[in-house]
This record gives sequence, C-alpha cells and structure tokens, in this order.
Amino acid sequence: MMKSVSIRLCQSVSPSRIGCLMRLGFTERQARFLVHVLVFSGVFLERQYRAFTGLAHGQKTHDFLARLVTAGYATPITPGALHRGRLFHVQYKPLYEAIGEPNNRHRKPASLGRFVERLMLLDAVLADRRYGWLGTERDKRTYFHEAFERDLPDDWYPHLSFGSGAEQTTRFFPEKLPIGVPLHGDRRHVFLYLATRAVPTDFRVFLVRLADLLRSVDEWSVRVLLPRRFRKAAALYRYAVRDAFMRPLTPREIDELDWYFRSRRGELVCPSRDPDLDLTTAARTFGAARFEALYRVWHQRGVQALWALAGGTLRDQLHRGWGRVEFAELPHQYLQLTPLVGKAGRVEKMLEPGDNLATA
Amino acid sequence: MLDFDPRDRDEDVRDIEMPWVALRRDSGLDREEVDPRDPDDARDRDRDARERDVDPRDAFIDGLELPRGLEREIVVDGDHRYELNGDDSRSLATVGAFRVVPERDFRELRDEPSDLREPDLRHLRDEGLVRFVSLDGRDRAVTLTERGHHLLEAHRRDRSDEREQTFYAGVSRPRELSHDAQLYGAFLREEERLREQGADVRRVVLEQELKREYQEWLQEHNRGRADSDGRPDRDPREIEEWARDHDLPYFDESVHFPDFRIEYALDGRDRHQDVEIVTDHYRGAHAAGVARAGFKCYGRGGRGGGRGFDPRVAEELFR
Repeated sequence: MMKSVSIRLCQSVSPSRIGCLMRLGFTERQARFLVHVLVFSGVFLERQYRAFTGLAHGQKTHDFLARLVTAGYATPITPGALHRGRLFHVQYKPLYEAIGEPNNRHRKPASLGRFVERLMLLDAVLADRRYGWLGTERDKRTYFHEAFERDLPDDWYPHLSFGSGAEQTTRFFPEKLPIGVPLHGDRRHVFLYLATRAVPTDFRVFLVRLADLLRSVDEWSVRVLLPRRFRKAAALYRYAVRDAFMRPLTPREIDELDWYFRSRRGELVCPSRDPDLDLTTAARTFGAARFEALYRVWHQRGVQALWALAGGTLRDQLHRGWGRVEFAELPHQYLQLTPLVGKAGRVEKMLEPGDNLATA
Repeated sequence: MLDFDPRDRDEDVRDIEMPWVALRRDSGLDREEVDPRDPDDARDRDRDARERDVDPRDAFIDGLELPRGLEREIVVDGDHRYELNGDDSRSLATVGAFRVVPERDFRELRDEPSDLREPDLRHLRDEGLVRFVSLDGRDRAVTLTERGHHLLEAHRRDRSDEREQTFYAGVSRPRELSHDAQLYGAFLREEERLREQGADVRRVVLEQELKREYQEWLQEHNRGRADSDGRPDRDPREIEEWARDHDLPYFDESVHFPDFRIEYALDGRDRHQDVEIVTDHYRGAHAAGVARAGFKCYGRGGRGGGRGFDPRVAEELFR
C-alpha cells in the first residue's frame, strides 16, 4: 500500500523551480514551460510553446524565442530543408543549475533522432495534465521512497549498474522516461514508454526491469507512445506485454533458464537437473524473443531478474484493472524527422545569425 | 513449485484489453494541430484502419518479430544483416508459408503495375532471402532460400507454440511446381470470403504437414524399435478415429488430405477450412474422391490469371 505523498514531490515542475526561473526574468507561463523543457526534453518546438501557453503565432512567441537565442540560453537547430521548421535546444548551464540539475544530460548535444524522441516525450507530458510528471532520476527516487516509506529495496527499482566494487555506479530509471503521478485523489501511476522501433526488443527489457516496481504500485498504467509510423507495431507490443506479464515463469523454468543462461555465457556448469534438458534443447526452448530480453536483464541482475516475472501478481493486477497497458499514437510530424527515431545521427545545421525566428 | 504451467491458461493470455487512448484529451490547447477526427473515436478509428488496411499476408507474420512499418530496418540473424520493411516481412513469411508463390500473385495483391512492384521481390532476392524459379517457362515464382528460412525461424516470437505457422524453403516436388504455385491464389480467394464473414485467419497448414503428423502417429509404436519392419500397426478403426479427431474425411479405407487447411477464428471459436486445387488432370475416381471429401475446390484462373476453371472438370467433380 502506497502512502500519500506531499504534492511538492509529485511533480518535477515544482513551484520552487518555476520561481527560480522567474527570478531570471521569465514570466510565470514562460518559466513553467521552460522547466518542462529542462526536465523532460531539453528541446522544444515553437508549436509546443504556443500550445502550452495558448498563444497564437505572433510577436510574443517571437520575442520569447529571440530572447532565448540571443541570450545564449537555447540553440536553434534547422534540420534539413529551410522552412521545414526548427527545434530549440536549451543548453545553458545556469538554467539547469537554477532548477538544481546542473549535470542534466538534456544540456548536452545529441543526435537529431534523440532530440526527436525527446520532443515526443515532451508532447506526451504536456498533453496529459491529470498527472504530475516526474522527469529526473532524483525526483523519481524521492517520490517512491516517500510513497513506500523506504520499504522497497533498491534492487526493485529499474536500474543499471556500471563498474564493480567501490567504483560501481548505479543508475535508477535508466530509460529516463517520464512517470505520471496521481494528483487529485486518484491512485494510478502512468509509466510512459516511447516506441522507437517496430520490433519491441527494448520494450521487453523495459517491462522486465519495471516488473518489481509495478508489483508494488497500487494502480498503474504502462502507456506506450507510438509514433505514427510505428502504429502497426502495436500488435507486437501487445504480445510483448502478454509474454512478460501474462505468462509468469515457474520456479522450474527459472532454474532451467538460469542454468541455460550461465552455460550460454560460457560458465562451466553441471548438467541440468532435468535429464531431458541439454544445451541444444534449451537453446530451442528458450530461443524466443521473451527469453532474449530476460537474458539481457539476467546479465545485469542475475537470477533475481527472472524472479521478477514469477508469480501471478502482475497478471492479477491486469485482470482486475489495477494494471493497465494502453497505446497512444503521437499525431505530429516532428519536422518530418520521425524516421530518425531510434537511429544514431548528428545534429545537422545550426541557425545562421540573422535568420528570422518567426519562421521557426 | 506450481503444479501447472501458467502459460497453459490461454484465457488469461487473451482476455485483457490494451486499448488505444487519445493523448490530447486534456490539454485543450493545441487545437490547430489536433487530429480533426474525434479523439474518443480512437478505437473506431483503429477498427476502421484495420478494415481498410487488411493485408491477407498479415496472418503469416503474426508470430514473428520482424519490421512492420514502411521504413526498412536492419534485421540481424547471426552474422547476417538484412534490411527489411513491413512489406518485405509479409512477402517473406507468405512465401515461406506456401513454399512457392507466383510473382504475379504479389503484384495483383497491390493493384500496382509490375514495374512498381517488382523491386520489392528483387530486394528480397538481392538480400539472398528468396530465389526465383520458372513456371512453365512463362511466369516465375518465388521460394525461400535456406537463409530466408533461417531468418524466419530465428525471429519467431514464441518457439514453443506448436500451432505457429510452419515455413518451408525451396521447391519440394519439381513435377508438382505448377500445382503448388496455385495454392496461394486459392488462399487469397478463400481468405477474402472468410474475412467477409468476420473470420480472423491464424495460419495455413499444408498437406505435407498434415501427412507428416499422420505418419508420425502411424509409426509411433515402431519408433526406436530395432526389430520393427516399418509397417504401421494401426487398424482401420483407429485410423478412422484419428481422421475424425483431425476432421479429415476417411473413406475407401484411407484418410484424405486437402492441399492445405486454413485455420481461423470466428465468433470466438477456432475453425478451419480445407481447400483443394483441382486441375484438368482431375478425372474419374480421383475427381470423385475429391468431391466426396468435401474440400473447398479451386481451379486455375480467377485472381491468379491463366486459364479459367474448366467446366468439364466441375462436371467430373460433382456428378
């Protein structure tokens, strides 16, 4: 059972952060939008600003964008042909420092594909104001620590560890996806996932990593955001959910999988306890995509990753409606750059001095 | 330890809803860019889109994790890397399901002139996943290479599902190539008819798969026995029962197999339709046997082009 948490901790766009940016000369509306950008994406489109503020395309918008650019707060990026549009990368370190996130990676340059992915996430957050949204690792950890009264072991949060021994670094919520937190007496939490590929390989890993946390959350939704070009992939994503949550692993399967994965990694292992299970049989039995995803997480977390999918809790949550998986299509064109989603690339072109921002 | 495998509980796997939701319901600001259709109609839109976008090949990629979109993506299989989009995936799986498919059947599916359609199959050929074989010296058909077959097998979503689509590579019976190449055309017509009734096609089972299952059952008692003479020990009554269990006709002391079976779901129930290709060579007792078996019969012609169904053959069949 989760405890009610102060509304101050339920959203990354907190009044204190907004106040910090207002002290730099932004209006409340501008500051609120900028905090969204800093926390969730680092980049934005003019239409997102206009939609958020309710402004039409005109002088006020132009002035705001011009100020960001001329003050060096943001860099306009013109990908591809002129007039296709521009996106703005807010990279100014003092802005991030002002909201207590000096080392936020949104400040760093990234590929266009990654920028477009972040624009999509920003759209998803701005579109649903029923929830408070958590964007940073620290905000998520603080919220869940409070909600679970620190009862949930660290291992149960989605995490990735690097290095070993004293030099080991652990990143929690490594996918850096926004989490929606109920604001008005509701109990449902929303875990966003952005589909960047037609094949849900990474989504399967995401589900396995999230399983332990979901089991502890009272009510939850996994909301899969599908760019228009991946709309038809929804069927595969549904299968991935069913594989992960509706088909719990049995203790025997966990034993067999652990044995097979250790063999596969090249460890010297005794023959399986099951006399009928040899490596060839295991490779055939556990060759499906769901087991590939398990292998990736097992590699990082060991056998505990497999136990996250044992038992019928998640299946029961889904049956009772406490757990829910939903799909949302992202309707925009994103400067016609959606083919870059999920692919590496480089930032193409910066705005030339003197370019008219109003055409952005 | 649990005393059952939760994966056996099919109803659990099927009955949760994963709906579409509209993102823009609460923002209320970005009016000029909102999809003009009512966001609350997302489900209807989904259904409409499905109806509009039905591709008979979809059934064959249902159990595969391969690209489905318009853009080509990199697909890795061992040391090989391929670039495939949704159309490539569907074509590849369809060829694998029917073993051999005339090139013209893919062309007509898209209602596009051949010069527009051809590059896609050429792309699969250039990737080494399919090869062309000549049909009667006039048309050509396409069949999977071993690499194509391996790619499909390696990208199965769940290899433990025995009811998944079987895929085949290469031409099995060169003498029967012309006959086998008609299966897909017949499937297209039957699939269209079933779809109009609201059916959802799950997979296709070719005759040789049905026969293999039959042979495995026949030889079950001989397996592993050094002293076996290879003759099955099943009596006619057992065989008739096996045929009844598999919904196959049994008469003249033998089980009769269709050229292929379409398995589909309709009104929440699993059903199937057996289909037989009849040619000019079907005469006399053979034709009468096909008619008695009650299979859905298709002849040459129709969608697949070529000569129309010879009415004399029909006369033989239904006399």
